[in-house]
Amino acid sequence: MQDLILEIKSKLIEQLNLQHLTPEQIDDDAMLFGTGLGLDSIDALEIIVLLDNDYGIKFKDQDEAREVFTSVRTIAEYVSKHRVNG
Amino acid sequence: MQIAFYLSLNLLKMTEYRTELVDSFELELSAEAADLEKQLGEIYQEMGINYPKFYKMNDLCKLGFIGAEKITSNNTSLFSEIAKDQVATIFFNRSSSLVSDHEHMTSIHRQSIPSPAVFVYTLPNILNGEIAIRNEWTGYSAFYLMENYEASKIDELVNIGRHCQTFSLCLAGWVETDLANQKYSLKIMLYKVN
Amino acid sequence: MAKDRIAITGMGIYTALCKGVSQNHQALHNNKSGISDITILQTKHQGSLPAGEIKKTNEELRNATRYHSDEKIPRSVLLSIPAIEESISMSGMPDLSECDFYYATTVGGIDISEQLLLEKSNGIYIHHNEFRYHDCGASTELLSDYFKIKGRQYTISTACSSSANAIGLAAQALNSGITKYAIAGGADALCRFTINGFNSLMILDKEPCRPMDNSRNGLNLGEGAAFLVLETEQNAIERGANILGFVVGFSNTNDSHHQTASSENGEGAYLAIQGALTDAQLAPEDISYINAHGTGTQNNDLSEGNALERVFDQMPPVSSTKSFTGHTLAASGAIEAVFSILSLRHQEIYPTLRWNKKIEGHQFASFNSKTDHEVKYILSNAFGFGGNCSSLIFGK
Repeated sequence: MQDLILEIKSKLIEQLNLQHLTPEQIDDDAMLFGTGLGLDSIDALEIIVLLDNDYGIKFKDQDEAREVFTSVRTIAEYVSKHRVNG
Repeated sequence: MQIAFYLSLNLLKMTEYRTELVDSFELELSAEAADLEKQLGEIYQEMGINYPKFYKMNDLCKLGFIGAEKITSNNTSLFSEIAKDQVATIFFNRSSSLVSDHEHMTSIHRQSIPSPAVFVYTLPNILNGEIAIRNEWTGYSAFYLMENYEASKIDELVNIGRHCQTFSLCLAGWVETDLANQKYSLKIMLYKVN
Repeated sequence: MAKDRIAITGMGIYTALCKGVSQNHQALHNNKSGISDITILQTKHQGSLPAGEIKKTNEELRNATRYHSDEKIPRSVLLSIPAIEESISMSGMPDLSECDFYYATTVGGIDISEQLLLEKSNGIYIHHNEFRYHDCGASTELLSDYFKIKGRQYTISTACSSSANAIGLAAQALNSGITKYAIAGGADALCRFTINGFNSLMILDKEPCRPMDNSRNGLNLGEGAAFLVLETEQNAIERGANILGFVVGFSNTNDSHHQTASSENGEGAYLAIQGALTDAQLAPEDISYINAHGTGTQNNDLSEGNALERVFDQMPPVSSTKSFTGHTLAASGAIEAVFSILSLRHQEIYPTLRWNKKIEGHQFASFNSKTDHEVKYILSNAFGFGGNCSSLIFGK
């Protein structure tokens, strides 16, 4: 799981243009949206595209996705259970 | 999306308004020195701005944003006197949002869903939006394309804008990302309207 | 615009409803929707995303013009030609040499470019000259040349508020006395660039859209063109022109919130609506009907409704005619301007098709069938990405 968490952190940094951060600076359980990392609705859409392209995971809509996108850990746990490829 | 704005203006009867040039800033970047996006990042860091959203912008918006920050930071007391709905932004370039258009178009064929963050920047007037968000300005905003930089046309369009809508300050400028020649040019002006 | 009201003496339109002002009026009058499955545009989204598509191929559209069959003309130009022709004819404008042209588009010639790039990626050699009609200004030049419009040319592109801004800018130019006549409006065509882009934002409804409704689930894209011929009231009276209506107010503001989403309290929209009322020297209670931007997205319709409720103590009837045409992007402001003038002339208001239930949190309701109504002044909203908010007011 830790490897997957690190992998996802690196992908998020690249995909979401968070170059001012390193993986070590992102807490596994930090809130991604609202406070914490302060990501916005476009970032949420980018994560949906990332999970589809890299792991074959598809979400019905944004509401379904937002339930998963609480922290890097919750994303990693979801990917671990539902990944189709990658 | 690339947008062209070809103008052929006659002298306008705009004598009721006078615009005074208060400040300006210019910047020329060439890829001969270093990667253009990297240069923009270095300038941003040197300026000591803390605005992480900068990294999400495309190069057009980064270039214009740097110019706007230079102007606002040099004129803080002037901006503090003016209401936020009285500041207009009027920008110009030749290449529109081509820095993002091509990336979006090619990603349509490469991926099942193209990047939403790239699509968001396929309109040049997003630059106006980014600067408005940063400064909380709710005034008039416009983006025009011209073949080449022409100071007199910029002056004329600032005056037309002023005639359309009330504003007291206008940030106007040429923000060009010439990918073919790997050169970025910025000429940004602050006008006070009397 | 404390300034004079500006006369509208001609109009032309081409939408998914049909070609022509009286034909569009019939469709609106009979609650007839133009939303359907995509059949003309070659896209992987055929069969899954409905749109307000005009059921003519580019070849069919081109054959109705003077262009040669081997010329690759942007679809948005081909849609504009009959609409501009109709507006000029209706106006009886004597001389196009004194006429300025305010043209709005976001797509320009992208439909041609994307097809060429697809062919290029399949190994076909494409000379760079084939891309000469890619940018939006090329469309303006093509149309000015086609109709021999000799005045100034402006190409406005501010996303979905573009043609509203074209009309507003033209009205102000006329008011300032720098020109005698203006043709103002715009066009956008369906293309893979926009359909895939909007799809990536997850704001497209897989069903026909339901703007201003609690169950709304996104927008349907559309395509079309519409133009107004504008001149000063004095000039129109002097030459005995038939005045169809007036542009009485205009305002443009920035929402200053997000690149593509609107602020929840609709601040930019609120300021634009207030600005247009001030410009027209009208009070909210003077407005008879509101043609909302009303795209059908969760975000826009909530935000716009909140802005309207901040302005209007007593809400006049509100509807979104994007339920008929889909969201025609840059063309929407001008198309909805034509619908507003039809409303004024026929003293009736056009519904939000498929509307059923008001949005939770809003007090006001829309309506779902054409209604006779005393109409004096109409507020028409157009809000674009980049926080670009525009409001126009039309009067009898």
